[in-house]
Amino acid sequence: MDQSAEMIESAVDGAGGLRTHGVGKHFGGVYAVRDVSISVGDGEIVGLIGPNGAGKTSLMNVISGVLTVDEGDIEIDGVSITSLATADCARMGVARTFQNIRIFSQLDVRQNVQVALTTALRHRASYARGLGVDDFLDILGIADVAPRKAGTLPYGTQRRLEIARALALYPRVLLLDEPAAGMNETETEALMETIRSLHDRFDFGILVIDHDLRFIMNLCQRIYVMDMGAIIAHGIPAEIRANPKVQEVYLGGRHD
Amino acid sequence: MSLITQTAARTILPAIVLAGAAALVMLLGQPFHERVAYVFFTNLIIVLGLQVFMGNSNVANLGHIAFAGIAGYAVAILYTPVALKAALIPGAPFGLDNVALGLVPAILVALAITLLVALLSGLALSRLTGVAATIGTMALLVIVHVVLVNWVELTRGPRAFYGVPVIFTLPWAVGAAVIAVYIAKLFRESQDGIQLRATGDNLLAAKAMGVDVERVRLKAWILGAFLCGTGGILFTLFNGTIAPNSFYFSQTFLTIAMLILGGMRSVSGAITGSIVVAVGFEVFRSLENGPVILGIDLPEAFGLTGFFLGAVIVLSLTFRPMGLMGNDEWEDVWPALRARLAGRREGRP
Ligand SMILES: Nc1ncnc2c1ncn2[C@@H]1O[C@H](COP(=O)(O)OP(=O)(O)OP(=O)(O)O)[C@@H](O)[C@H]1O
Ligand SMILES: [Mg+2]
Repeated sequence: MDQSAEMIESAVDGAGGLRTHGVGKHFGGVYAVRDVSISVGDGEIVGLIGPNGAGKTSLMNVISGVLTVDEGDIEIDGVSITSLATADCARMGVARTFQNIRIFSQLDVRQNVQVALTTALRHRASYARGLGVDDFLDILGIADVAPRKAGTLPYGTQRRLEIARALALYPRVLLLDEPAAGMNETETEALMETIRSLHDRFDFGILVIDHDLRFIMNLCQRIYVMDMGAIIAHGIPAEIRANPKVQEVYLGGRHD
Repeated sequence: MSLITQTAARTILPAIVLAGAAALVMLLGQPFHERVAYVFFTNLIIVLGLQVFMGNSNVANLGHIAFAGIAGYAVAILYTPVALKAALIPGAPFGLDNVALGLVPAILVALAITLLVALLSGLALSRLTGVAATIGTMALLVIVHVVLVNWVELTRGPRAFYGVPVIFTLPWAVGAAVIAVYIAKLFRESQDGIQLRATGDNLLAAKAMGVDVERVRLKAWILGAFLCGTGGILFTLFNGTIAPNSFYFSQTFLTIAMLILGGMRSVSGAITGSIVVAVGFEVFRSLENGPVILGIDLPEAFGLTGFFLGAVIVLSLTFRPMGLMGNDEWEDVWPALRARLAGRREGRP
């Protein structure tokens, strides 16, 4: 990859996908997110890294309507979703997973996906492509546990279920908050393949947070680096690896 | 198989159990037992109504009996013959002392009034969760009770409203209860039911999956009110006499105990709890009168039944918070057990 991130970004400019413009979020006097402008174009896999407490999850919360926006604007396909409540953001095509898993533990695996698919069929009919609950389970490779109660699944499978559930929204952008957390190397490798297959199969963009830099560098076409609420660097993986600011704040020992 | 037929198949077992129990009572029991059984079935319908909202949404509801009261009083006022009403509620508002509807219109209007109140109260209450919901639903119960007690020209106030024609017999109650089981099961497995259960399980995740929380809660609230109202109507048209206290705290307490003991998350939990608590309640009621058992003359002990219900609620919340059935329907118990055994054999947790 010798294209620079700016070139890629300008190529997706005007096209569909997620865009934030100067987004800010503060708790009391403390900025968790400060003046963040990012884009995730159709078919892109974009990484978001940064040390603990950098504001990565807060940014996803703001984009998905879980937190209200204090400053700036958020758009999907050029339509502002800035002031929408969580459920309405989902209906506009923002799908997400959670850093601390939030499956519907008392429902079975199929029903977990059904919850999202019902939303898609009712409110995103023009995007729905006729896939059924079992298709989404197949895509994530968890069809064999379909009738199991979700709360009884192993950790890694629960993370996969969260992705299957998010896919069933037929999203325009998929936000993955540390999807590989708690997974061993083999599981992480397999998850990476799965996410790549999503990229091949669907046309939505993916924004993925992780602390595993190898995972992010191998998976993503572009990477944003966050620190203290702000984007401090942006580039293709090679640029990020070489960026001295990044090495200082993120690669240089502060990473857990 | 579509959901409709699948749910019908899943209703066969409870239908057999309920109809079988009723048949036994009718064949072997005294008229007194038949009365107890009838009231059991009206309570069961009310518990199912409670399950539809509370069990699926995981939001406490202490106000469901209000709907039984509204529907019960509405059908009593609409269906009692004019001659009797002239004595009971002379000069009733809206000229209601001068008109009496036929049975079916009276029931339909009573249900319509109940649904209207459910819609209005639901629009306000579906926004609430946690303590606010508990207090809000209880306030509804108190408001309806205060109206029944104080709107003397319409309801006779705290005095009993008697002389309502007695229409229904045990088989009617069984039939209605089986239909109520079917409706509750159908809702639980419907798209709205699954979305509502998702909100009860993890509210934030449900919102992130685009679930309109207020809308699915409102649907369940109205459907639950419909079932509770049906229970109130069946009770009134069997008992012939009602009073505001027929639809107040003791009835609330009884049906809540039934649902909590059985497990509010499943329809089978509602049925199981209703059966167990009803049997226990009758045992304690007979003990209240100080019977002679094994030659020992027990003292009278009024209040034992209330003690029993309190103990049921406290003990099941303490030792089995998910109730006897947990999250399972009767037909799930065997497959779930088998899966757990298989899991243990493979060394899975
Ligand atoms: N609801 C909240 N109320 C107050 N402060 C919050 C809230 N959520 C997050 N914060 C603060 O905002 C900052 C950013 O937190 P955030 O969870 O977004 O970081 P993160 O980059 O996701 O970190 P990690 O890598 O540990 O997940 C932290 O200082 C955190 O304490
Ligand atoms: Mg985080």
